[in-house]
Amino acid sequence: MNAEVYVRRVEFEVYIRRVELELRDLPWKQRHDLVAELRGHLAELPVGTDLPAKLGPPEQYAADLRSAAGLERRRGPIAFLRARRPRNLILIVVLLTLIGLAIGAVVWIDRYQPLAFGNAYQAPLGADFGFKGDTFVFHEGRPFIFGMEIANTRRFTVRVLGVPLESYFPWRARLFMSVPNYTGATMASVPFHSFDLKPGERVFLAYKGVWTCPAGIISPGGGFGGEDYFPVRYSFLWRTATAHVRLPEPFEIVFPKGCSPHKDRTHP
Amino acid sequence: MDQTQLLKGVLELAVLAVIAQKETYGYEILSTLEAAGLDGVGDASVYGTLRRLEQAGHVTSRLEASDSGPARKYYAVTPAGRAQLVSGTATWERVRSSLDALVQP
Repeated sequence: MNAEVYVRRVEFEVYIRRVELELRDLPWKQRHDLVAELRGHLAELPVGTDLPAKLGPPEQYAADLRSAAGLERRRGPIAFLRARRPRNLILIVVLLTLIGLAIGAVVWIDRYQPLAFGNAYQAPLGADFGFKGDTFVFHEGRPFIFGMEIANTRRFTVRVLGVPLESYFPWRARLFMSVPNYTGATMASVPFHSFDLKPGERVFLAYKGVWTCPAGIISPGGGFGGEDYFPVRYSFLWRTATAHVRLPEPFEIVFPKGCSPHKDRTHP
Repeated sequence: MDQTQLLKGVLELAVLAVIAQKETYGYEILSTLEAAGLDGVGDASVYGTLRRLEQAGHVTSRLEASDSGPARKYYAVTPAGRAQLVSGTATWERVRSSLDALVQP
């Protein structure tokens, strides 16, 4: 293709595009036919034809075409949709549907929380179960165990990463776990490691250690509590979150003898 | 007087008359009109008129591949178009006679 032919084609294309722009309100098929005919007409013109002189400005050409063909200017949403190429409309609908589905999926994943309380719960020795909750009595240096069974109640597997209890709790303990779907009273017997909890599976998680003083000095008779959930860290696809698995009863820790101020206050 | 404005009123009849002679395409119709002295009517007006005639069922069209470029759209007169041509010609004759009587001394 030599330069002259190339320039001529570009000139034609620009002219056609400008005419098409002026007819953009017409239904796509109608506009397509008119533009195709114009394209054919331009191809018939002798080489060297001065396009604006022969046809007039594109805007005028479009106006004359519209007037002679009796094509009224169309407005409104229906006209807007009909002016789009059907293939493009379908693509837009498909694209919007995919975007909607993707947003829906992200929102769903962001809210997916399948962990719930199972059937078992283990409070520290000497806990007092009352109507308004459980009372755990602090006995410095004595063995401590506190745990519960969690279950995956929904349809997809999640990975359990840990139980991030707050560091100010008055015990020094390590997290243990049972095997999934344990039987009998095995409870938590192996050191915790992250694991996949499948739908319908349940596992027992428990902190085992000794009661120890928290960082602050607690005077005799004092206490803190009102805790009513077991925080379980889990991941699902790309998201990591903490599920607040509700305990059967809220618990409170009381300190009948207080904490000795000369003890080591460091906490794991 | 501007011939373009006069022609616009009878362009439909002129185009129909050209197509009635033989099946033809847009550029050839324009060339025939210009050769007959009906120039200045505007290419867009002719193509718009062709579209209106087709919509009215007075002409039909078909696409035929062209060696020189895009496919050509050929137009042919329908029976309804021929009837329209006869009717339009009669009307034109009446108008021309009346006008002749007025403008000729």
